[in-house]
Amino acid sequence: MGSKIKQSVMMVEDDEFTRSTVKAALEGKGLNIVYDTSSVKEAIEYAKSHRPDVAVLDYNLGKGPNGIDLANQLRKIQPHIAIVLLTAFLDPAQLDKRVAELPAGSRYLIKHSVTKIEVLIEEIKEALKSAPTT
Amino acid sequence: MRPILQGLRSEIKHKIDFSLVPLGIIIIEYSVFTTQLSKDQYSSLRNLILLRVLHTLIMITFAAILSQIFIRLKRTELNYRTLAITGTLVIGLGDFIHRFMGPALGVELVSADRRVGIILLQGCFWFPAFIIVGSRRTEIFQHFKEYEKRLIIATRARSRKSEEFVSIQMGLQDRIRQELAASCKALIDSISQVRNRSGNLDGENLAIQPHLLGDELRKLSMKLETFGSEQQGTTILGQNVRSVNLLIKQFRILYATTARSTPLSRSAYALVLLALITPPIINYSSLPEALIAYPIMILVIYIAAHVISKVLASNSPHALRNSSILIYLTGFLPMISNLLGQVINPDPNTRYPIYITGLTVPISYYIFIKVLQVLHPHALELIRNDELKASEALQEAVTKVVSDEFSHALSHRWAIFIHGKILTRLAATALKLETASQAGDSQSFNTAVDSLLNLLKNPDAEFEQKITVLETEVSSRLDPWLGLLDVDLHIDQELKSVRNERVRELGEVIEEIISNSMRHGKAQKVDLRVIKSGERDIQIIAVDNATIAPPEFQGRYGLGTRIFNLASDGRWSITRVESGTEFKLTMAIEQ
Repeated sequence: MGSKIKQSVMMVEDDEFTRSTVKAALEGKGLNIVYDTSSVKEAIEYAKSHRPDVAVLDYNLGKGPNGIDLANQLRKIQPHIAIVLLTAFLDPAQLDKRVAELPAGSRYLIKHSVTKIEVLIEEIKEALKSAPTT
Repeated sequence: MRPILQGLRSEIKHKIDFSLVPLGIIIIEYSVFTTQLSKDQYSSLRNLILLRVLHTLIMITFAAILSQIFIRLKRTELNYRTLAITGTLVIGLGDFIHRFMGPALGVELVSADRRVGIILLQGCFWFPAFIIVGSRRTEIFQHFKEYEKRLIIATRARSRKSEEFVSIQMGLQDRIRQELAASCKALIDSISQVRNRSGNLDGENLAIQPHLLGDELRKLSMKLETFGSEQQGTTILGQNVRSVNLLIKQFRILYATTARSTPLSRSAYALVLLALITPPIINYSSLPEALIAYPIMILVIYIAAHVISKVLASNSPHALRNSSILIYLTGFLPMISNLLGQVINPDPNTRYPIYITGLTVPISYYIFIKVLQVLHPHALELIRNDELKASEALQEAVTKVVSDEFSHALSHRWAIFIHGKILTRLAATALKLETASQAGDSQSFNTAVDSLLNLLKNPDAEFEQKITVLETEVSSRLDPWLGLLDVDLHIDQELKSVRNERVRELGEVIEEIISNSMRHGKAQKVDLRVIKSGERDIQIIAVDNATIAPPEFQGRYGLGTRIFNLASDGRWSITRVESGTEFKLTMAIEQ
């Protein structure tokens, strides 16, 4: 395991149980979870005002936009934001042929591979490395 | 709307369109071939076939050259008289070549006077007929399509309300719920078994983790989604082929409706038969016979046409059946006339071949009349919505389409639910157990397992079924998008409090519209109006500033198409407007 992540992290997940579980696990490893929500609208408002460094997003956010739609919007608001998309789908295109493309440098992680929180932390680090810098 | 058949003296201009002329040439050549075959005027069958094939190619080449000449001369319209003169010249030129080719290939020609008769008939009737029908094919197809669309909409609405469809709906819901419950039950059993046997937290965690992958549930979800994806690739062409099949099934009812509301004129009934019988008269009768028989034949045919029209217009419940029988029997008039002539003056040379007058003419006449009636654009236009009855075959086919669309859409929703809710919960539980195990927190561990087992005991509890009022439903679909795009919403006051089964479908439509606008069109703004339309319908009008046309506009058939079709019975359209895309959908909103 490499150095500790100091950047601010926001989480968007519509399932309350999942959100609190992942948040608690990340905080347990010392990550700075500055905001968590189930609402796309609130996430966008927060990103506009606080410009977090990392966004951990669920793909399926219930009715309305999905995690990829949100990721693209967040990148417009905060061009350097690192994005990790969590999903229960092996391939979202299998469920919806119309999924948009993830923003450049984003990481895509199957939820079932996150049995150990370290897997997600590694992905966050990778996302921070590959996020646009200019 | 003009009738298809018109008089020689008509000054109405017709667009010049040669697209059906090759087909006309092939039919005429085939007719000449059967005549030559029957008259035994050839040295070898091979040469006869060769002659006809070569002559067909030459005539098609003539037609192509003539078409190009009109284009070069920028002549786009001609009246019937000019068309008839042009046709006579073309057919005459063809006959001139035929005169040299025939003897060269050992095929004996009929006399010059007979050939003149044939040239006049083909040039003055058949040639203009194919040009006129060709020029109006777009109009005919357009009316045909519009009729088809209205018919499918009416049939879809009936199918959607049918007991069969309701039963399919309920059956599918029950089946999916049962399969989900069975998978969850198996998972509960597996977890309960390993949970009871383990002695410590780490061991219990290791034993439970493999089950939390939820392989069976994943398989079920993918199976449901595969069912929903089977028709993703269906093209507009494929749909058109299906449409044509449906219309073939509908032919009898279509004929019955148009024949009763807008029957063909008496002249049409007579002219079609005269056009069919004139070539045999020219080819087989002597001049005196023709001079005696032809006027009588014309008179009899006109009387028969008059009788057909009378029978069709009568109030008898069997009017259609009787008129159809009469049409078929009228096709035998030429044969009867010839047989009578043979009784009076027996002459093997003037006897018509029985397969022409006893078979080809009656059947061709019957089919021509039926097709001509169905292709009557004005008749199609006049069919009222309440007369749009579907044949049993069509009703069955449409019910299947509606059921398939419903099944695909519902399966997709369940697949998303299983993935998004249940599998997600399994994954989160796996993480929770791992963390609790590492921390030695047995209370959190057990709470997480109990919580999961409770969810699995009642897995479909969160699958949304509740019905809300229209305004709330629309808001619930739009609110999540706020921040991603601006939506300017208007709902008619009297619609806001509507609450019934269809409100959810309206919500799904709105979700699809917004999703299309943003994901495909890259739109940033949508103007959405939900307004009342007539007594029982509402209309959804969405105008966005999309830069890219949505997939449905490009003719792709997918989940969106199914949702729109199911909600509106096919009454929706997408058009590109100056500033983006305009989507319109009309749906019945039963109170």
